[in-house]
Amino acid sequence: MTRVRNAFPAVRVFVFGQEVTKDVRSVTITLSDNARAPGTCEFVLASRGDRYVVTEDDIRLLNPEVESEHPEVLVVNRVLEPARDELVGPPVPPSIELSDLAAQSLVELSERRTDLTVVEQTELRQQLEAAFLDANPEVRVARATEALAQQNLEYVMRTQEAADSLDAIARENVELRVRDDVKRAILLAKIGWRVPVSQPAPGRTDKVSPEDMAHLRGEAYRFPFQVGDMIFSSNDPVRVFLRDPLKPAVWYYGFTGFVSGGGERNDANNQQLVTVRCEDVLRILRYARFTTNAGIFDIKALKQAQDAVVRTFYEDDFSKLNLLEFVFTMLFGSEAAAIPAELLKTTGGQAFPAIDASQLRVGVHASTEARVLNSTGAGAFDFARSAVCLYGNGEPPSNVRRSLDRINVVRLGQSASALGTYLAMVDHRVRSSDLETMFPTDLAAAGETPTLASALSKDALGEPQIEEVITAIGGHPERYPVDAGRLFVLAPVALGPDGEAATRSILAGDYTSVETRTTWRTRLARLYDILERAEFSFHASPRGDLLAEMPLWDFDPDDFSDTEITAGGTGAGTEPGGSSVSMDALRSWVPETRGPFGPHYRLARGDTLGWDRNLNDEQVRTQFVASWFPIAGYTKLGTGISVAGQTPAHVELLALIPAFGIRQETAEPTVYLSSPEAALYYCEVKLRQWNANARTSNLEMLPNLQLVPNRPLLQVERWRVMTVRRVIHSLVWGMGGTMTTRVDVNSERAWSGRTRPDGRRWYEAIGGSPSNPLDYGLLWSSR
Amino acid sequence: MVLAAQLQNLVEIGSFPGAGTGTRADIVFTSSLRTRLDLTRLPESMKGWDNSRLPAAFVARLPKRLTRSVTMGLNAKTVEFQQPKRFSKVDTRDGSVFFHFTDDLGRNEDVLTVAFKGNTGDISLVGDDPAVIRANLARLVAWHQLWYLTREPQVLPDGKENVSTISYVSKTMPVVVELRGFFNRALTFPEEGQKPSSLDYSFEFTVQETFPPLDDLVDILSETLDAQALNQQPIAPAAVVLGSGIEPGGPR
Repeated sequence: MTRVRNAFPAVRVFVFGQEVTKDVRSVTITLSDNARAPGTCEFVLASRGDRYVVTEDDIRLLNPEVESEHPEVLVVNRVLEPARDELVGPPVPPSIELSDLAAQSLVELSERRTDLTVVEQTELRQQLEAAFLDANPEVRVARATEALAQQNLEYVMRTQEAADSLDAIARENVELRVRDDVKRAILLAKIGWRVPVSQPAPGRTDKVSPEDMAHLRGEAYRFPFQVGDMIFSSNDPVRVFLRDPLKPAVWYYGFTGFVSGGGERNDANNQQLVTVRCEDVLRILRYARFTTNAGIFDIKALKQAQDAVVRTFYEDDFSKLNLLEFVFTMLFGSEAAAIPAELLKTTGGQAFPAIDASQLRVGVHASTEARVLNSTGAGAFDFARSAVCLYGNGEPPSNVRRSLDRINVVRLGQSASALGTYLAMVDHRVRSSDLETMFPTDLAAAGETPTLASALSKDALGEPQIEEVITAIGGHPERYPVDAGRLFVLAPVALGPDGEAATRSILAGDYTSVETRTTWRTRLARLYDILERAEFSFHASPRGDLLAEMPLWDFDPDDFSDTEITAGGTGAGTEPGGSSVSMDALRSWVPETRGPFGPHYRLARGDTLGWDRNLNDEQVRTQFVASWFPIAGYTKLGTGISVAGQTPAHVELLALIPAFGIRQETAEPTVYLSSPEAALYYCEVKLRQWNANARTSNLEMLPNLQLVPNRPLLQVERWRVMTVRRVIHSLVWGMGGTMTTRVDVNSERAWSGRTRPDGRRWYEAIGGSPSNPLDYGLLWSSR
Repeated sequence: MVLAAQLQNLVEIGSFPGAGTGTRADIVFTSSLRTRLDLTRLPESMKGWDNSRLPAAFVARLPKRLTRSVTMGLNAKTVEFQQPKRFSKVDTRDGSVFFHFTDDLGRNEDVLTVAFKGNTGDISLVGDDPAVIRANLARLVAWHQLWYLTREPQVLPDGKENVSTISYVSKTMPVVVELRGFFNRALTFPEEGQKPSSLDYSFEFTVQETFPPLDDLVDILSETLDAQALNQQPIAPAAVVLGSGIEPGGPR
C-alpha cells in the first residue's frame, strides 16, 4: 500500500521586530557556500491596502510642513540647521566685558549733569554713546556680534523647536490616521531617528562651492521615505523560522539576515504583492573593509571611521597569521582575537586602525545601546561564544598551537560522535536555551537580563512553548540582534605546516601571495580568497552563526552520529584559554541533548520528489601535474620560478585511461607548494576532486531543514554520497501550495561494490577503487 | 452568555424563529453602505453622524430608493455552507504526502462560503387583481434590491470597506448569526420560458467573519440544553424546514 503521510508546514517571518507571518504567501531561502556571496531569502507579502508600501497620504502625515502656509521655511528649519558661521561669519568671541564697561561709564557721565531734564539726559547719553563708539570701533563690532549671536541662538532654538514640534505632529498623525496596525507600528518606530548630514540647502540650483557645503549642516531622517517605498529599509533585521512539516513540534531557524531590497507588483485586479529580498549575515562582510557593521546605526561612528574605510591601503596584510588567526581577525579584529602586534606588521608599514564605535540596535518594539564595538572587526559577532573545533587526533602544529591559548578550542577527536558533537554546537533547531545563549554578552555585561524561559507558557512536557521563544527572539532584534552570532571553525587538527612534515607545507601560514594590494577588497572577498586555498567551506548558518569548515567530501552520514549528542558524553573537550578540558564550557554550546544528525543526511526514496544526474565526460581527467616552488610568494615572482632541473609532480589514473584516454590538467595552485611531496599530494587531491565534480546532480525532496551546505547527502536509492553545495527551501502557502527542499551537490562518490571491514559501503569517486578516495586528509597527512 | 439566554428564552416560549409554526424565518441582508446611507439621509440638524455621512456626489450616483435591508423568507430552495480544507498532495518516489496549511489553532479550513438558491415566487405583473399585482410588484422590487445589493461598491469613497451582512437563522443556527463578508458574484438567474411567473436565482456569499463565532454555537446550544435539563421542560422541535420552492417566497 502506498505510504501516505501528513505534513504541516508553517513559517514565521519577522522584519524589524514586526511579525508579518499572516501576510506571507511564499518564502524561498537559498543557502550556499561557494557563491562568494551571502545566502538569500525572498518572501512575498500580500499587501492589502498598501500595508507595506508608503503612500502619498503617508508622506503627508510624516511631513506635516507640507500642509503649512510656509512650507519652504519649515522644511529648511527641519532638515537643515544652518551653522552659526553661515549667518554671522566666523564666530568672534563677544567682548561683553568691554561693552558693559563702556555703557556703565556713559550712564555715570550723563547722570552727573543734574541741570538737565530726563529727556535731555537721554539725548546727551545717546550722543556721548555714539561718540564713544566712533572712537572705539571694536566695541561697536563686539556689540553687533553679540546681537547677531543672540539672533542666531534664537534662530537655532526656534529651529529645534520647530523640528521637535513637527516630529510630534507627524507622530500624532501616524498614531491617529494610519489605520493599519503593522504600518503604524513600523512608521512610529522609524519617526524621529535622525542622522547628521552635510549637504546643500534644498532647492538650491546654482553651483555650490565647497565652502557653502561645509557650512550647511543639519539632520536628516535615518529612515527616509518616499512615495512607493517599502516600509522596510535596507539593513532592517530579518528572521525567518520554519516548522518541520513532518514533526510539527520542531522549529528551525530558516534564515537570519538583513533586508537588502524588494519591490511591489500591482496587477489589473488591484492586488498588491510586495517582495522582500534579504541577505544573510555575510552581508556585513560583503560591505565591510575595515569598518563596522554595514547596518550600523550610529552614523557618527561610521563617519569617524571613514578615513580608515576608504583611504587605508594595506599591502600583504596578515602575512604572518595562520588560518585561524586570519579568520578570527577578520571577524573580531586583532584586538579581540588577541593577535600579537608583531604578527600584524604589514609590509606597507601601516598599523591597524583602532576605532571604537557604539551601536544602537533598533526594532519595532524598542531600541538598545550596544557595547562599544571594536571596529577593526565586523558586525557584533560574539567572540566569547565562538570556537575552533579541531577534528582528528594528535597535536596541532606549532604555529597553530600559538593561537590556542587565545581562542576557544574544542578538540573533537576522531570518534564516531566527533562530527556529531560539532553539529550539536552549530545546530540551528530552535531551543528554549537560545533565549540565554543568544542574548548578547555585552547586554548581559551591562546588566540586562535575557527573556526568561520560565516566564513563557509551558507545553505538556513542562517545556517553554517554542513558538513563544520564536516570538521573543524574532520580535526583539534589539535584544537578540541578527549580527551577534558566533564563529565556528571546523579544521583538521593537523592544520598548517610544522617544519619537518613536508606534506603539510602545502598550506603555509604565509598568505603573502593573496592579492591584498587593492583599493577596495571586502572582508568577505578576502575570507574566500584565503579559505578557498584550503578548500574550506564558508557560509552563514540559518541561525546567524558563521561557519568556516574544512570540506566534508570524504565523510558519510554515519560519521555524523546516529545517536543523540550530550555535552557530557561526547568525548570532546574544550580548551578555553588553553587550560585543561572543561565539560562545563562545552555545555554552554550544547546545553541540552541534541541530534541525532546522521539520519537527516540519508535521503530515502519515500522522501524524494525527483532528481537529475548527469555525467559531463569533458570534465574527467586522468593525469594531473603540479609544480612546486622553492620560494614563498611565488605570485609576485612569477610562476616561472623553479628549481633547475625540477620535474613537476604528476599523478595518473591508469584505470581510467582505457576509457577516457590521456587527459592532462596542469594545476595552477594558489597555495604555496614547497616540496615535490607537497605537489604530489596536491595533485592527488585535485585530480579526485576534479573527477568527482564531473558528475553533477540536483535533487528535490520533502523539506529537510537540517540540511546546510558542506554536509554529506546519501541517496539511498542510488547508493551515492554527495556534498551539499546549495540548499533551497521553498514554501508556497495555501491551497495548492507546497513546501520542498532542493539541493545542488558536487563531489559525488558512488558505490562500486567494496565494503569496509564493518560492513559499511565504500563510496568512491568516478572510476571506482582504482581511483583512490577523495580524501581531504591527504592535504594534511592527518588521516 | 447573552445569546444563550436569548436562545433559552426562545426555547421556553416554544417559539424558534419560524420553527414549525408556519411562520417563516427571515434572513436579512444588508451592507454598511445601506446603513450609512440611512445616516446620510438624516436631517442636517442631527449632528454627530458626520463621520458616517457619505459624500453627496457619490450618493447622487446611487439609486435613491435603496432600502436599509432586504429580507428573505426561508423558502430558498437550498442554502449550502461550504468550507474546503487547505491542503495539497505531493507525490514522492514512494508514497504521498498531504501538506496541510494550518492556522494558529492547527486547523486547515479554508474560507467559508454560503450559496443560496431560490425562487422569487410569483412576480408576474399581468392579471386582473390589482392586489395580487401589487404584491407581485413588491416582491419584484425586493428581488431587485437584493440584486443591487450583490452589485454594490466594494469600497466606499473614504476608503472604508462596504461590508455585507447576512443575519442568518435556521434550524441548525436557531439564534441569529451575523455572517459578514461579501458576495463573490452578483445574482445569477435564468429567464426561463417554462416559468413565466417566477424566476430561479442563486448567489454566493464569502464569509469573512461571523458573530457569534461559529465555534461558540456548540457552547450556546449546550448551555441551553443544560438549562433545559434543570427546568425539566420539553424542548420544542427545531423544525425550520427549507422551502420546497413551491410556495411563494423569495426576497421581500
